[in-house]
Amino acid sequence: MCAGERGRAAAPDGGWGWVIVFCCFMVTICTRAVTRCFSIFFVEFQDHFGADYSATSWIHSLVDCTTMLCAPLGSLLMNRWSCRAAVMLGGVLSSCGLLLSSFSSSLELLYFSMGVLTGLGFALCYTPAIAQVGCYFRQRKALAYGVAMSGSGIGTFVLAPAVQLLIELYSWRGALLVLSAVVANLCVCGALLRPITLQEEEEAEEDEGAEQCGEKQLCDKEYRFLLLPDFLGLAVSFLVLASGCSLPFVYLVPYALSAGVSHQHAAFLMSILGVIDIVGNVTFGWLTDRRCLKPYRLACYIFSVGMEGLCCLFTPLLRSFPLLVPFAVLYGYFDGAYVALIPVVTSDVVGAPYLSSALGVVYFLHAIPYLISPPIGGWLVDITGSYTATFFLSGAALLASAVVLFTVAGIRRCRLTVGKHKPLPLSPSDQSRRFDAFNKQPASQSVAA
Amino acid sequence: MSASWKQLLSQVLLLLVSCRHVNTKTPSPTAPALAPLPTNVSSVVLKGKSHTENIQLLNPVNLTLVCIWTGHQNTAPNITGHWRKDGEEIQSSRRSVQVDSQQYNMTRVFSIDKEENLGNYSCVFGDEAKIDFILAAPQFDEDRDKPIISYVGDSVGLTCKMANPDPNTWTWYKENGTAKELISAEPQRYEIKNTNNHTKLLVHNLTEADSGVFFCGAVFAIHTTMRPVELKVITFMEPLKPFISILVEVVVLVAAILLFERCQSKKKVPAGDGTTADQKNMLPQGDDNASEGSSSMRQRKV
Repeated sequence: MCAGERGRAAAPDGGWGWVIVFCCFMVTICTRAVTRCFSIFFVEFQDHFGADYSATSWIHSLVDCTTMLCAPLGSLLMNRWSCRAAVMLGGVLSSCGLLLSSFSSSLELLYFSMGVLTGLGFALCYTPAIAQVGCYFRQRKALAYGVAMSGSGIGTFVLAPAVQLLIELYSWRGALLVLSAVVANLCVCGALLRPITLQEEEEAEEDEGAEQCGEKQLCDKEYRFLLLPDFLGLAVSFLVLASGCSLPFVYLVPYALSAGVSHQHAAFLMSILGVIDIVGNVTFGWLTDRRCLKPYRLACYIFSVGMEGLCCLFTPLLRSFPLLVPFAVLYGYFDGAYVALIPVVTSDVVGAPYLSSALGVVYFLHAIPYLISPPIGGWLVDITGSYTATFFLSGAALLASAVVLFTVAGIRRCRLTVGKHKPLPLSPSDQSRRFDAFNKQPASQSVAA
Repeated sequence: MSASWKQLLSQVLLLLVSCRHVNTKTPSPTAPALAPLPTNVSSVVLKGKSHTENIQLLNPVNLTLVCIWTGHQNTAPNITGHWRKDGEEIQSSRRSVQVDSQQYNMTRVFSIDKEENLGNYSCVFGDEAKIDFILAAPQFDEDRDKPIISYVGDSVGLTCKMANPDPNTWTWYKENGTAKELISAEPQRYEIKNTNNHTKLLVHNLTEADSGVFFCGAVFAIHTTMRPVELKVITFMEPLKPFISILVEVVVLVAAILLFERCQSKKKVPAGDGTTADQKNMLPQGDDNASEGSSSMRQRKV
């Protein structure tokens, strides 16, 4: 919880802020990229434990789901103790999880150590690190987030061959051992996340008429943003979004192979997707920080999600490598774009003080759809015999998410233009700042955002 | 009467000679295969200069190789052709080939009943055209050139797969110097699990002496195809070295950062109102406070 609400920049927007961005970048590498690299171990697990593909892929689902499900726990620890403590604890937990996995003698123990324990550790690191970036940046928030979130793409690029090399040198046990040491670097990132001493308006607290929220007691003031209609709309859109966004990553390669594309070309498609994802992260973040686009940040987010949905709907028509390359480029770019904007849009809607708790809830909403949508996609492939239904589901979910958000923004705008000075739950100054993203306010106020 | 007896005798003698001749030409295999070998025909028509044909053999067979060459524009009436095995000319295989409706035709029957008979057979038309027939037992799909790593005291499974066709049985060998030692199942040590198209050798209680090259053999009637599988057994010290070094780096960095922060905060505390100094560090200007009309500032550590 940080930053004053007013226009004056309580956040440095630079200086130590860039160190924080670097730390968040490293945290994203050590959590998201390492999660993606787990699938490299599956062949080894299948050989060693005599398991089949679905049994080993549970590990990936468990770690992804636990990371997202326990995100509110991460933000809770950040509010109670500090960002530093939460990230360092997360680093220790995930490192221990991987260490335990390297000595594992059964697949079930791997589910616990590599799935649940490591996932919990990652959850404690991911949300606090992202929230901390929001504390340090105001003007260049989207760019900072773009750079920080590009860690998952760059990390996958770098870690995948490195993990492969480790497995060749030391077999999967040794590779997991070395990986646990690499993940322990989360503690270093945590140590660098210097807490920022910020100002807070007493006015805001007087308005709410509540006691100063002690750091030790659970205060429902922290979760008041949940009642905001805007946040509810945002939450529904995230829920629907998460149901569709992971499917193309999982099913692009099998679809390309079924359409007659060679193995090397299909792998190249995934590489294109990954690299353009990174480009989308950084460039879209930089773009939406420009003065001309800042008031329309939510519109940019809706646009990128909608474009992704359209790309997915057209996929079943693309049945050769030269046609799938533009799809990979477009989809990768907009995927990077919306991922960088999630924390920005959330912070725009709920305001900076509630960012960490809100991010916890946002990532929590991603958990169950991430877990169940790939198997549902696979089930669709099995019963229809083609990938069309899966891509349609993905495209429809993404478009629905964009439509929900568009509707909520539209309703808000209509209400504000009709009843401009209607009293709203939070103080009017908060309200007008909060809806900069929805309305075309004069430049002076939007610059302050 | 004596003339007819002489005729009969000479005929019997001739028969005996020709039988012996037949015997030397097609020696019977060592196994008592009284049944004749099956026959197979492979025919190739060549239009250009050369062609290679791969023939997969599972069982001993009498193979007829037919080479047909369409020749050049100006086809000579005859050409000298011969057969080669593994690059060396087969004795007494050189003969003159007549042109027959613009084509040269060479045919020969080969008895492939032993491993040595497999190889590269070629029919050569003068110096101008060549057709290679590569006779081989089914080969493995791809070689795993990377060694399999395992740890002392652990168990490891070495697998070999043969997609098509299925071998009769599987055998495993360990390389010992230049010789190959057959591996048989031993309790607590070696375990062999075979199915139709793949085999798995489980080695338990590994020691460093187990490092080396293992060969899995797919046994066919004609030949056993071998494939090397390298095993490397390492102790736990190997991955422990990078692990410890990275952990040491993490601990050193964390300690350094936290100590540095502690020193920095100690420097700030004696500076009177330390919080004001902090404010000045963080804010570009503090004038707006008054304009907001708030009476006191509240600090919150994040």
